[in-house]
Order: sequence, then structure tokens, then C-alpha cells
Amino acid sequence: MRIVLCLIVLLSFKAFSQVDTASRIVKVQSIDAVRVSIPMLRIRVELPEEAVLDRGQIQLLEPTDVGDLVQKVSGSNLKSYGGLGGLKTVSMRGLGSQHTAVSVDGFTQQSYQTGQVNLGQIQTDNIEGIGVVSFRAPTKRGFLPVSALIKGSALSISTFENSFSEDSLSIRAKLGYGSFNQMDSYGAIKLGREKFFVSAFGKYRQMDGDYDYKFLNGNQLENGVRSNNNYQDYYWGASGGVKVGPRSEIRVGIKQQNVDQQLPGAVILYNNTADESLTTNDTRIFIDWKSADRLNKFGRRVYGSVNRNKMRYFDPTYFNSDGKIDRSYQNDVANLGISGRFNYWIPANITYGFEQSIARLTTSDSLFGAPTRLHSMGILGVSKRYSRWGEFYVNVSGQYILDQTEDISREFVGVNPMVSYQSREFGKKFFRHTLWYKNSFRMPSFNEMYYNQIGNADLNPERANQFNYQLSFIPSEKKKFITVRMNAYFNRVQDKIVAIPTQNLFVWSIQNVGKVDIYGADANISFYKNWGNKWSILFLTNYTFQHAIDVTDSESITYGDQIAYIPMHSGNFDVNVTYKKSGLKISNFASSKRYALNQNIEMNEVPGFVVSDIAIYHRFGKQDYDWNQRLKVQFTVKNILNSSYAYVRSFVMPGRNYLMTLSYEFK
Amino acid sequence: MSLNKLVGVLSLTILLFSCKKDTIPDPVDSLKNGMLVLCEGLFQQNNASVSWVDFSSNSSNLQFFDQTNNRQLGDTGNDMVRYGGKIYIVVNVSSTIEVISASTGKSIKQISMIDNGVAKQPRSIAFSGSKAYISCYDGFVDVLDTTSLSIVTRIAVGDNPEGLAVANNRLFVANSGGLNFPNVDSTVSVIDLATNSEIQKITVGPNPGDLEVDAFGDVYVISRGDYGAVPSRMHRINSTTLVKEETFTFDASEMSVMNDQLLISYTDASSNQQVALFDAVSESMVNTTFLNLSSVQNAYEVQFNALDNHIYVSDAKDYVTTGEVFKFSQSGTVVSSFNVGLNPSKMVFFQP
Repeated sequence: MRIVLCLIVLLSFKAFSQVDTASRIVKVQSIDAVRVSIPMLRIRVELPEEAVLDRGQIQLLEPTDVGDLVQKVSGSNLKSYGGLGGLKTVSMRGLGSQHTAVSVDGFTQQSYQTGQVNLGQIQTDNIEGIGVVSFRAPTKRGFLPVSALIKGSALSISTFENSFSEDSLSIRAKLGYGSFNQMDSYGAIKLGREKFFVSAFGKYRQMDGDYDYKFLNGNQLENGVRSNNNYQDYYWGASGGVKVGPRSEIRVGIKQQNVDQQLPGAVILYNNTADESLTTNDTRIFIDWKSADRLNKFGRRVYGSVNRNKMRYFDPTYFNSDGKIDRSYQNDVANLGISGRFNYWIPANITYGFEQSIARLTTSDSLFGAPTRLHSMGILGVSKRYSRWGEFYVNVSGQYILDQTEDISREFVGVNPMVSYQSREFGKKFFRHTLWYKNSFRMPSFNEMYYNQIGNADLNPERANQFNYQLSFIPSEKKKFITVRMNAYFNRVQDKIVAIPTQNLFVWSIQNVGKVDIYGADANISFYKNWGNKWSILFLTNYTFQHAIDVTDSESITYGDQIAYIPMHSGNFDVNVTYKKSGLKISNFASSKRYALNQNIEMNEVPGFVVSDIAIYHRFGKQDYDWNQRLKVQFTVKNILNSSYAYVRSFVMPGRNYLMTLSYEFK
Repeated sequence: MSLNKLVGVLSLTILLFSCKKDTIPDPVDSLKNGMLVLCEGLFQQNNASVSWVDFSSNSSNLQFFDQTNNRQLGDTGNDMVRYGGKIYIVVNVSSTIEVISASTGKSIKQISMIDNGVAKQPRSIAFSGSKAYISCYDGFVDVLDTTSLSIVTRIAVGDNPEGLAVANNRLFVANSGGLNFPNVDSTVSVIDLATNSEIQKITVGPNPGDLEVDAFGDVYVISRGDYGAVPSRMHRINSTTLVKEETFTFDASEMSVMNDQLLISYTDASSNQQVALFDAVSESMVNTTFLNLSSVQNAYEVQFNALDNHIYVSDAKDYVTTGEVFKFSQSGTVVSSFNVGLNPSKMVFFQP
């Protein structure tokens, strides 16, 4: 039965694959970290309280996928099972990955089966901006969907292909080749005028898989090869938008993604025989309408999407009577929502939103009960700005969830408040305080509730409380060469959903047993300086401290111990130096030791590590920002120190590897 | 903040990342007056281990195997038995048999149980004459020559065999079929050790697991049911007639032989773990609550130590923290306890 558990773990994690690589490219621009434009309204909104990375920074960071990118945000804690397309999840502020929603162009990406989104399969070539949003109103950041706002935090991603453009023709293209025979090609074209846009885009990437690693066995460093690691994926899509009147727009789009991957699984000592594979087909269609009035007295959004995700898991050497496992899973999700704001009638801004989703899992696996979930979400908020004090914002969200399987029906109701206060700027308008409290929960996934034996249909939601204080230092526009944001927070997770064996080690079950307190602090510093038009230097650095302790049971041996897979210290230190059209970039990520289990003993330690990447690049074309086309070539060495490291015990990351990329932009 | 200060702060931060320090005690020269405890570890964590408990000093070394052999045991230890001067450790997910010296714990040979790129997933081991018999989850019993320490043949049995034991020059193998759950197997394969071939399958009950032989050659096997509505039951097979003679009506999850008796672990109607005493001569239950398990959080393995006439119960706690072994007197009360590794199961005892 343990094997069954392993299977479930495999399936819920979806993917274990390969290596780092790939690069993004193109224009290098001055730091503009804390501003984001909302194209529809043609205004710029300052968001100093939230971490935001724009396209310029994303290009500097050279991420393989959104997982790599999010690791650059303070307060985040990435869990990577290794490699291209492999499972990557992020926990913000120590809450656990399922408390973070991922929203792409205003649509939440969800897997009701696993409850988590694989950030390793969200690529970054097309990303215009990414932000971490914890407490904003639905109207901010381009109308986040209600399903993202009700979570502990949300990653908000905006893409090239789904945005209006001022240019009549934009092209983006990229080619990459690297270690492990990695090939990467991306292309996108967007046509537009003031009133409309149409775009088409596609990407193909593949890798031959097996990578070398070093692995500490006792006190001996052994060399190994992580095999069964071939990977191939492609996606394509098309989008279009039209402006109906001066402040109203409609967008529609379709995206289709296919992934074929072998699953290398954990590195098991003395046994290198993985042969499982996973095929994924994912199709999404959306429609999105936004409008606002001339005086900006109201704005609203109506949105809908459907998503079909099909997975096929195949294990050719399973020791059952068939001699194999061949199972298919189909997740269907449909969403319809409305959100908006207005400041009529009362001297405050009212924000509101409602979203309805329906999800269904059908599978060839007889151990599932074909669950369906109806999820209704509503949010109502009031914000008020006082010129003397700053801005206050309060909201309440309510949720109703109805689950039905072949023989079970369950209902949940949740009401969650959130309060924030942001001071006005002080000290030459450079400083600002922000305080917020948020109460939220995450629903158990279908796997956690309904998978035969392991699933527990009596599970309750996992609840989270967050108290956060932030001090930001952001000099005014003209002098802005440094930005500093510092957070201190206390979070508590209750009814934490944990898989534990019951009766014996063969019969596991999922229970609401954990309670975790998180004392955290982080600091984010960006610094930019140039000397004339020739030299410039950019530092992006952050540090995160998280003391996340198990406070489930004061009698327990692990009471007060740091919980599994949360490092106490982690941080990034990235430097980019440019001279004319060439640049050198050094990127470092460091994590202190973690524990594979909650008990803080040496046997459970997963060692800390430092990983450094280095890249050189050269741009062809004009150097200023009014360019209309640009070509860039870049050579990257990842893990240049050839460190042996793992985020997750037994899931060893690759050693030194190389990547060459060529990118082209036209607008 | 100046650039220098910034770099200073960052350097300090990196320095703060702690380094791991190891202190390795001296290896044991000769194993005596203590026990080795196989600690299963957890799947995909590569943290199966062997703890050494020294009875005289009441001290434990949780990393005995690693420190004695300068390498790790592997992933998910399932069985550990002493036979002659050697101890055989069955490591399931790593798919190895570790053969170590019974006097020093030093590795004699690591036998890879991988066949044509497929891990055979060994589960349990039993011995007869110069051979060891290893149940493998791929539906075979491997025959290991205990002198050459190489696999000499494979015997096909049912799906996912678990416990096995020898009686009357026959090998009895519990075919669980656990990977076909809920359509599990319910048979015991009988293998003639003269020909190394299966001669019969005896139907007992769904999901056979633990299998033991008493001093009289009776074979006891537990069918584990479905962990739900179908209860776990103990059955008795006559090793001469190969007939299942009796299915007992009490719950039983595992057994351990103690002289002419069996110690039977089960979960009672109040969901409390119990260890019962069963008389294998009269085939009757003696005491359904033989051991006072009030100190034990999660009894995982029960074993009788004939060297000191005590009963040892391993406690796996919550399965994710290091365990403990409790020593019980024949009156069923705790005498002492010892710290051991993660998910402690099989024990091997050493002379004072």
C-alpha cells in the first residue's frame, strides 16, 4: 500500500524532470521595479508595498520558468523537484504552496485534483510583469480574479500576447541550445492599432534528459546520473482584443499546451531504475470584458474561462497483475466572475467581486469517486484615503463550497476578513508604513479528500492568519536608484493538512493535525547606477528569515522545531554590469539548511547551498529605448561552482550546465 | 546605504548560513550485550538506518550502519535476520540485500536485487540449510546461496509476496497481491525446497502478510483484509497435509514466536493497540491484553529475545520522528526503553 501512496504522491506532484536552462532575453532597461501600468486606464499606479518584477528585470534574471523567477522574491520559498518541467511550487511567507494562487492575465490557474500549480511548466518568454499580491483590492493590478484574492497571496502574471499594444506590429522570437541537448524556440507576433489587437504565439522546447549530479552518501560524495529524464513540450495560442468605446475593452484567447515527460523520480540509493512517464494536455479559453467611466468613478470586469486538463500516467513495470499502471485523469474547470469598484454615493471606494467555478475530475482510476466541486466566492471591500493619515482598506470574503462524489456530499462555508493600512509617504516622501492582516483558508484538494484509503472526505480547510508590517524606502522618480522594502510578519497556520500513517505504515491518511507559527522578516534592496552612457551597474538583492515552527502539540518531540523544508535563511544577490552594448551578469541564490522532516536532528538535515549562475551577453542594434528591433546573444553558465544541492531530499539538482540563446524583438 | 555597506551586510548574511558539523564516534569492535534495530525510514528519503543499542550503558547509536560502513543503508529497510555469522538486511526500495558481519556490523557484501533494469523490491527473508529465501514484490522468491552470496535461482509465486518461513523442508510464502488492491490475493504458496518449485497454493484469506512457523511445524499466516470492513485474521496451516486447519476469530495484524507461544499484535474495538498471548500447543488464546502498552505510542514490531527472556516492542511514534524500543518483562510490564531511529522494526539481539 505504500506503493499506492507513492503513486499518489507522484501523481499529485505531476512531474519530476530535468535541468535548468533556457533564457529570456532582450532589452535591458533602467530599473522600474515598483511601477506597473494598467493599460486600459492609461494611468500608472504605484505599488511599493508588493514585490513586482517587470520585463526588464525578468530578462536580467534569465529564469527557466516562473518558479525560478519567484525565487527572486523575498518571502518566497521554492520547492523544486529538479529540472525542466519538473514540479516547482512556492510557499509565500511560510504558509505552504496551496495558499498561493497563480493568476495569468487575470485568470486563476487551478488544479482541483492536486491543489497546486506547477510553476515549472509556466514559462517566462512571454511575461511582461509578475507581482506578488497579498492584500490589494480587486481593482488594483489589473483586476485580479476573486479566486486569487481570497487566497493567502497571489502571483499575478501579465503576458505579451494578451495585452493591448501601442505598436502596429510586435514580434518576439528566441532560440536556445544548451547542455543535455536542450533546444528551445519561442515566437510571438502581435498586430494592433489603437482599437484592437490580435496575437499568435507558440513555443517548443525539449531536452534529452539524463544529467550528472553529485550525491552525498554517508561521508562519500558519489557521482550519479539522473536518468529517465527526457522532456518535450510545446504550446500555441491566439488572442485578440477590441476596444468598445474609449474605456471599455474585450479580450478573448485560447492556449493549448502539451507536455511529454519521463519522470526520473527521487534519486534512490543503489537503485536507478525509474521508468514512469506523464503526458499532459491542457487547453484554456477565456473571455474578459473591462470598462471604466471617464471620471474614474467606477470600473468593472466580467470574465469567464474554461480549462480542460488531461493527464496520462504510465508505469510500464508495476508489479500488479497487469504488469503496468496506465491511468488517465481529466480535470475540467469553468469559471465565471464579475468584479469592480465605484465611489458613488458614499465618500469611500467600494470594491466588490463574485466568482463561480465548477470543477470535475473524471479518471480511469477506480479508486477515485469522480468528485465535482461547486465553489462560490464573493468579496466586498471599502477603502478610504485620508490625506493626513493614509489609506485604509477593509474587506470581507465569503465562500460556499459544495463537493459531490458518487457517494459523498459535503458543504463548506467560510467568511474571512482582511484589513490594511498604508501610511502616506513621509521623510521627503521617501518612506511609507504598511500594515495588514489577512485571514484566509485553502480547501483540501480532490486527492486529499477522495483518493481511496489515503483521502479523507472529512477534512476541513487549512486556515491561515497573516499579520504583516512593511517599511518601504523609495526615493522619488528622479532620484530613484535605490529601493528598499522590509517586512516583518507573524503568521499562523491551523488545521494544517498533513499526510500521516494511521494504524500502520501501510495505511496513510490525510488529517487536519498541524499548527504552525511563522515569525518572518525580509528585506529587498535594489540599486542602480550608471556612469554616462557607457557603464551601468544593477544590484538586486534580498534576504528572507523564516522561523516557522511546529506548535501542534506541546508534548511532541517536534514542538518548537523548524518545520520541514522551510529554510531559516535564504537570499539572492544578483549583479548586472553593462558596458555599452555588452553585459555581465552574476546571479546567486543561497539557502541555509532545511529539514526533510519536522524533527530537527542531524539525520533529517538537507544541507544548505549556494548556487551561482553567470552570463555574458551582447546586444546588436540601437541602444536607446526608441529602438524598433533588437538582437541579443547570450551565453549562460548555470551552477558555475558545480554545487551538489537539492531543494527536496533525494531530488538532486544538476551540476554545471550551459546555455546559448539568441533573441530577437521588433516593435 | 553605500555600496560597501550593502556588500558587507550580504557577506554577513551568507556567513550566517550554518555549516554542518559531524561527530563520528569510534566503530564498535565486537557486538555484544545489545541489539541492532532496523529502522525502516521513509519512502524516497534514503534514510533507512540501523541503530545499535548498548544494554550495559543504555546508550544508542542511531547511525550505526553509516558509521561502520561509511555509507548509507538506502531506502526503506524491510527485514533484518541473523543467520550464522552474518546478518542479512533487506532494503526494499533500494532493492538490495546488505550482508554484514554479525560480530562487527561491517559490510560483507551488498547484493543488488535489480534484474534487467527492474528493481525486484525484496521484502522478507527466511533461511534453510545453506540457502536464504527472499520474497520479492515482482512475484518471485529469490534463492541466495549463503556461502557464495549470490542468487542461484528464482521461484515464481503469487503477486507481491510478503512473509515467508520454512517448515518440513517446504517454504511457505504469503502472496498479498497488495498492488492489485482492492482485488488482492488470498493464497499461500508452498514450495518444495528439494525441487525449488511451487507445489500448491493454499487459500487463506484476503491480503496475506505476516507468516510464522511455530516449534511444532504449524504455519500461521495473517490475512490483513482490506483495513476496513474485512477484518484481519490469523490462520493455521498444517505443514504436512498442506491444509488450512483453522481460521481464528480474533483480530490479528502481526505475530511473533515466543517459545511455544505466539505474541499477536492487534487493534481492539476501542482502537487501542494490544499484544495478546496465544498458546501454540493448545491453539488457544491465553491473554488478550498480555502487555501493558500504555507507555507505547505506536507499537510497530514485537519480538521475543530468548537470550534474556524479555519481549521488545518497537514504537514508531508518529512515523515521522525517531522511535523508541521498550523492553517488557514476562509479566507484561515495561522494564526499560531505548532511543532508536525512524520507524524501528526488526531487531537482532546479542549475548551479554
